[in-house]
Amino acid sequence: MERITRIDDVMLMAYVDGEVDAETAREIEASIAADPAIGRRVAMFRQTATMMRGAFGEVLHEPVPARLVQALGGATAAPAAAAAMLPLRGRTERPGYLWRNAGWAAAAAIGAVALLNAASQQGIAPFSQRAPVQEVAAVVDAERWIDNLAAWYRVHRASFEKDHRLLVDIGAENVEELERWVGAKLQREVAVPDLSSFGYRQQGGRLLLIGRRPAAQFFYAAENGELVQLVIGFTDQPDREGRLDQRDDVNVVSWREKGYAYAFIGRIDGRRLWAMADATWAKLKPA
Amino acid sequence: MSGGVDPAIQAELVALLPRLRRFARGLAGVPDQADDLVQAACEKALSRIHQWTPGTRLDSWMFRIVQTTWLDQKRAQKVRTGEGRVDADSPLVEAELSVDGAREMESHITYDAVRRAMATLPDEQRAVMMLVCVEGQSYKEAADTLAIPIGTVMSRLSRARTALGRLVGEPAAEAAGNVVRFKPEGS
Repeated sequence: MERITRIDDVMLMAYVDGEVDAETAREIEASIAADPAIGRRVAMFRQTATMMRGAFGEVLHEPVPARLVQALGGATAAPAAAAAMLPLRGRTERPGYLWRNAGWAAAAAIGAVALLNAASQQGIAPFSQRAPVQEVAAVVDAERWIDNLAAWYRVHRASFEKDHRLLVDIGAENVEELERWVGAKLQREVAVPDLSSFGYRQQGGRLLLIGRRPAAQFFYAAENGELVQLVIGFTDQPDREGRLDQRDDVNVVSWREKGYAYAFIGRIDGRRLWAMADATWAKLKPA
Repeated sequence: MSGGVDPAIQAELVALLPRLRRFARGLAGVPDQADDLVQAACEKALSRIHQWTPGTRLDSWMFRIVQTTWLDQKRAQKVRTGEGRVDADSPLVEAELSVDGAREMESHITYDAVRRAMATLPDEQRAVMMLVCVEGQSYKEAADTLAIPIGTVMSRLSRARTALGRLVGEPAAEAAGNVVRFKPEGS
């Protein structure tokens, strides 16, 4: 009766990649249900594909060197990747930001416009006051730390889903201690924002190193288990307005101000994440 | 050089550049070297554009040219894998990954780590990784692109994914100790 005599890595990988027939898929799914080790292998094959897409995704958003366009005889053709960048707006307090979609070139641009329009219709008005359009090239420094933030988020989310607990240095029950400790490391006062109005409860926080310097990471969880992170770290980069980046299914809203970089990271709707940033950024500014 | 090229095909090639650059980045690792590779491949493609069969996939045809150009260049220049990379002096990816805790893992599981890990894989494994995992080609399409049997695609892909899997703490097959040292397969 059993068609599969041995489930090996190649077969599991083919299952993940959608390369097996329905019957084989069912048999593999039964094996996954019966053996957690097989489930872990499947998860690994899935994760490696996701990691690969993330690790090489940003190349698509870099401007294409003119010499390559010229090599194809298209001296005046515009770099195709630039279409994926949507430089936009600002508001009084923060003069410009970029809404960027990490998807494919033209489709992404259209999608981002649609999303932005939807966003402005849904009450994110302050961010829709338009200021000068920035040059695409000036914002192409799609900082690698966004990649890393999204990658860390995935790790935490996966472990949170699995173990229903988070690895924190100081829990939510000792917020004041957490604020003192993190503040000392970041050489500033830090007030852990309250996101309860968004349905997210503080879960505590921890320190990590970004570029060899300490950074704070705060966790928030919703009733449904959704996880949101806030990261605050040092930066040498100039101030930069809020920006939404997407890495696969993870959204990152980030900005820089007065030597600190901030990011909200979550798998929730970008507009919601943006609203969290909007509600807290003023309080997060260093004194 | 591109004198006789149909402008529509030319435009299609230009539109492919971001993906070609990404594919080349996966092969060569170093951005400048990858762009040199794309440039050489583009020039080669134009010179033999008559060999492309209309109605077949232009992207796959270009990926194949990038891949063969890369192998040709490596053979000709004896480019040592990893040469010129930031971490040229380290023979292996220095990723000692603890498999028993998110804290240890998270400091390593970055896209940088993935790119570095890719750079330690044999060339042929990198090509299938890029085509299947990043470009989303099916095994059959990747096999056609690289002109290799489908079984070879699968075995290369499996080896490469298993190697990368160590970044997420999944041991190769045997039980892991506390630390898994990342090593390239083969070569």
